[in-house]
Amino acid sequence: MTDQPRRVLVIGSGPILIGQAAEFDYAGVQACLALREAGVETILVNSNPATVMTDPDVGGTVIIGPLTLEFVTRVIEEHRPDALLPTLGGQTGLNLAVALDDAGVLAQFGLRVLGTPLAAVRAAEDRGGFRSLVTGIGEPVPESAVVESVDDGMRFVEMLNAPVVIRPAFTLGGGGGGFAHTPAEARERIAAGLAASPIGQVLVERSLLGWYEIEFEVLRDASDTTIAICGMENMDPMGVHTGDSIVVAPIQTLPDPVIQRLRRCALKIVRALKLEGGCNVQLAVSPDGSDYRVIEVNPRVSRSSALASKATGYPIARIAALIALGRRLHEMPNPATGGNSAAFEPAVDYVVVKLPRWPFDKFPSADRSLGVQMKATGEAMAIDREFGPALLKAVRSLDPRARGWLWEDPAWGLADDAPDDLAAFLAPSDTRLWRMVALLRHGWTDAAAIAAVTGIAPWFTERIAELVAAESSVVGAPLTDAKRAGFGDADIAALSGVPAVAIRRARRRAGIGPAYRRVDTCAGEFPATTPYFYSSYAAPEVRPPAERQSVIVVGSGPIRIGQGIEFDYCSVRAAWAIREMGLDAVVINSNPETVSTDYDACTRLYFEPLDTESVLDVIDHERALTGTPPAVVLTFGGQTAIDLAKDLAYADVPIAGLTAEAIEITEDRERFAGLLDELDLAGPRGSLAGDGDELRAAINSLGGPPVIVRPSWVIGGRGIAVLRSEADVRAYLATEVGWPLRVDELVAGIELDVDAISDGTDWCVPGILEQIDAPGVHSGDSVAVLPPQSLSRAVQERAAEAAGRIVLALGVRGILNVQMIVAGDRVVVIEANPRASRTVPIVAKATGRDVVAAAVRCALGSSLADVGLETGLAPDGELVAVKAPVGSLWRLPGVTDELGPEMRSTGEVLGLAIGAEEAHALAAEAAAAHAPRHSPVPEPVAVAVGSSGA
Amino acid sequence: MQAATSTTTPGAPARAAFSRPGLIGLEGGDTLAGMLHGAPVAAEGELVFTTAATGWGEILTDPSYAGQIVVLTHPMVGNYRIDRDHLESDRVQARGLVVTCLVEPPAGDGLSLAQLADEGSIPIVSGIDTRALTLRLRNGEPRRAVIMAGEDAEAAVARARASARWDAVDHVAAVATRQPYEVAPVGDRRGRATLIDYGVKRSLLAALAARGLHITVLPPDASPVDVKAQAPDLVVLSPGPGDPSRMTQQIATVGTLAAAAIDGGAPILGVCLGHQLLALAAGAPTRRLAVGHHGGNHAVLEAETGRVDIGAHNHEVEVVDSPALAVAGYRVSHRDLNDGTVEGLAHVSGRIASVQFHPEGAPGPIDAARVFDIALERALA
Repeated sequence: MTDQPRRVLVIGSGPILIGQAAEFDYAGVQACLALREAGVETILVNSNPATVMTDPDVGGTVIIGPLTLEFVTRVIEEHRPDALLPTLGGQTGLNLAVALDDAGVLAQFGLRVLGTPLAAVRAAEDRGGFRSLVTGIGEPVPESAVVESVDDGMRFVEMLNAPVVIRPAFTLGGGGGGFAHTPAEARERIAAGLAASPIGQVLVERSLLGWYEIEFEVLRDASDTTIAICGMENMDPMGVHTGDSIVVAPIQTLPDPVIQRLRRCALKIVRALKLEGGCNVQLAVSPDGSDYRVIEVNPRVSRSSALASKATGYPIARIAALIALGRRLHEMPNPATGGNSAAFEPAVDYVVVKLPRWPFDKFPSADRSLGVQMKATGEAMAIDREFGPALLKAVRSLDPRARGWLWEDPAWGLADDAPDDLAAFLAPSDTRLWRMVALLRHGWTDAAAIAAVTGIAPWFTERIAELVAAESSVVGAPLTDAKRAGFGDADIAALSGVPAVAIRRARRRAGIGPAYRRVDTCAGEFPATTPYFYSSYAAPEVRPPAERQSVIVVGSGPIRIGQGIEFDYCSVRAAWAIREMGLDAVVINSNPETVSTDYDACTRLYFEPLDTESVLDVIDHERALTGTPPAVVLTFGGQTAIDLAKDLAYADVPIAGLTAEAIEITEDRERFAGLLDELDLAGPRGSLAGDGDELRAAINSLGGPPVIVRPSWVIGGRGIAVLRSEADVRAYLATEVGWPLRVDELVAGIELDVDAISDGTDWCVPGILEQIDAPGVHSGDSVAVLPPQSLSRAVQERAAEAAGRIVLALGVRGILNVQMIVAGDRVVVIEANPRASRTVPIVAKATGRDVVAAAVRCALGSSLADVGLETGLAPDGELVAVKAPVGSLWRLPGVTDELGPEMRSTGEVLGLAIGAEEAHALAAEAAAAHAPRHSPVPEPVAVAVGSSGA
Repeated sequence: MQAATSTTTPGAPARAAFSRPGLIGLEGGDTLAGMLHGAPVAAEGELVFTTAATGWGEILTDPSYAGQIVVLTHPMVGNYRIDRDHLESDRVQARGLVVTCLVEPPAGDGLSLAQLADEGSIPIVSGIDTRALTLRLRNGEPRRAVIMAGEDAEAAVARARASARWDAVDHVAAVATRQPYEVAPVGDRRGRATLIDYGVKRSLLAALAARGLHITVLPPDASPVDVKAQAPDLVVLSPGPGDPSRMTQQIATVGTLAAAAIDGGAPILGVCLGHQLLALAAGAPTRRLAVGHHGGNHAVLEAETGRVDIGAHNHEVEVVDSPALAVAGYRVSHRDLNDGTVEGLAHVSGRIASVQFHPEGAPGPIDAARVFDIALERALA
């Protein structure tokens, strides 16, 4: 280990975009902690403040700044790392590493590239290089030919004797291309493609549409030890991006010889690339298993490696980082069993199902079809002993308050008729699973026909058909049977026509509850101590000893627009703070991408849906385990966690620092207006409207438009709109309106985000964010600066005071976020959320304070003095922070690019500097690094900051 | 026999064909209730769990599972139809199969797992929490068990307790060939191998044949003279079931063959039971593992090269790393990285090598298939 580097530069992945989410924070955190345990200093660059990795106790020397060649070069110049670890920051990090190499920066400053050699990266990334590498080791890629005439194209098609896809060269968005199943179609397509291509050239490639898609996560070390951590099977066949596919692990439908052939191919490729670290290999296999092709190789940790880590319990990123330092797999301890060696392939004795989470609920006008371009913003994973219960649990995890398993869109008309065109009805879309289920439920078709039309392996459609068949035996059969089959209490209640709470009561009476099983990487072969559990209706397993008080942190589930990685940051910091208090930190979450679902981040991890049923089950289990009722923290899991408050209160579960009453006051706009009156604080003028006529009357009473309308209980501004004209009113009324609406004046002024921490007696505001965009633009989409640059200290203190009075009046211990508008002398309070908000990581990074730890300690009974906070508005720090939103919704055809109260950005970047102008320039540079050609989010450069001093 | 017992009809997939209530009786004193599938017979044997998630046909027909009831840790079983070409011998060898969920596979060619069990006259019991059972076995639960129909717990436990111990039975005689036979090489013939069959898998024969070896398979009681009469380039001692320490005659034969090999005679490759016999012949004892290795995910370190390979493991017995090995000129060439088990031996003469694991995979990886290449090279040198 003499050549171990001293100072390693780690590049993060920047803001959350579709296709690049929390998985890189998970990988980065694991890697940084592993490197530092190994005695290596880390220098971390990332522009995304809402990450755990950008806290100094994780990232080491943390530089929050743009992921651009110029900026990172400056970082290297200043901090002089001697090595670079490029494989943790997704495609962004990898591209940047290649750019640094191309620019000669790595050579100039003598940086060694750890782990994967850049030559391997280039080989895997470059289409031609990849093909020649794979074919060079005797492995098959999809056959293709570049042709400039119809005759040449047809010669290839005839030789291939299989369906093809035609891709014209240099046409925008692949115009003129397409699939051809017959020679006649091919002839037509090739001719059209040649005509469409400005250079008269098309690529004719074998079509693998309908082949099964399989992925392997592989680790290799410098002594060529190569192991496959997990094989995963996409339920959706080729043609749907794996990020948009339902994924199952381990592989269920393929015979052992086929699995072995694919595994050997994956290992062979990773060995040929001489990768040292983790690698994802995607393969297509013909439905009869006789033939396969290599589709893609990602020479880095990825969304799939995060999924594989959570699916098996094997920490891929951590081990990959140690491999990059030169460690050998067989010399490292087994991370799960504590046994002798990390060189083993996990064996699992359960089934894992991943479902993607799409943003179409917020953008109903978007094109909901699925294809090769990823559209999901996040994902949920579920574990159970069998596929059926795991699938049902995954559905419950996806969005506890939206579509359940029994959901059907009445617009499908399946109650009356079979669809005219089954293939079109079942074309890949976000609702395909529910469409299949509904077809089976109404008896319009069977599992075999669905498999034939969709190309989904019949094994899956038959399991789904079994679940649908089981629905009809839920009523009348013992409750245990329905629970064993996997149905949630809510589904059983709906099928039986009783409220869900009745099912829970019946279960408790009969003592029917889940047991918790350990994810141990070895299918029970060896004793393991991984504190990682999933529920199953099976016999209880040996219980881990726990005699301490436990505190449950409820996470935020799949990443969606308006509820992103910031809540994972909050959940993780909360768990760490709880652990430091000497209590057992228990995390419940369903998102496999995240740091919070790393069992190293807490005392016990339950990978479970965040619905009432599963959270209450975990609470019951923890109570039995520890002999004490656990404290439950809902404050850090976004709206998903807060939504549980009522049901928890109904079940007599106390919520730390918060009452259901306080939540209701903040969510019921009438009661909130009453509270503001009591506190002598101003709210916007407005009233409640129960229908269209009342809406128009309310607008008139405010002196006409513009007004802002809001339904209650909203995430990320869903259903919120600014109405500027009668036309807007008509358009809004044409949508599905969540009555009653609160109709408020649109106050013109400066919008502020104020986070207040309270111990119940005193309050502290650690920082205030000033929104740069005009009110009406969702705060998540607005550029913001901390501390405010255009407000005097006195006004800021008045704003802080307002937040402080609200937090005390609500009796909230912990954290509360208040949005307000300063209009001249007027401070108008818009809304309060009794939970951590998107601003928390920004305040933490800008002020260097562990805001979450302070909040959670207060919620658990500490005083502000105990947690080291002064009362009142904290003095400005040295740094100015500018946050800019970054979006990737341009990827969704059909989404308009107009900014409004409906949040559109998927992520954010931060500029942090001594002066406002420099901070702003950094934020602009950071945002521009990820700006697409047609981003709906305006360049933040155009907005002036710091026009008037404090 | 292509049994027409599939009840799969489009749209109404059934979990498994015929099933009836039954139970597992454990010698430890309790019973586990489940549903029976496959043949309507009872089964006695020792419980052994494998962590292999697929390859049920290979597992059931592997002669090394003779006398054992196999517990599958992976809960979804029977998902695909089994291709007869992937079976490891001409009949089902395991005594019974214990699973959580037996799935009726989609329609198509090949056998369902229940059909294979029926054909092989063994029962499958489903609805068993195999993780819970595995944890008990791992923690030292006595292993004798019976699978039978009905609900008579007392009778089941009594029968489990009365059943023969796995290591008290000559399983090799029951599974190995009684007549010599030949296996032709694939492609050009490069040499001759003589394999003594203690319970060989077809995949092992196929791996040797694929390397151009013409194989003569001899019965387990073959004498050194019988072997020598074949004038082989390579002697292969096959895998097989049971406790090797009771195989006195075979140990003596292997001892003679080993001496001849060291003396410049045909080199020897021992696999699994063959490996254990080589150790016993050298005076090193074998013993029952606390928890047998069964699965396709263990890694083995090759001492000389530092190479690490994931391999298929299937053994209840291990060679004890005793001074006798060194005295006889052996070094431990391979070790299991999980528990340090001796997984291979190499003789100082370079003429004898053996592995405890299965380089032929089936089910499981064949990452260490070079074991065969090295043996072939040595044979043809």
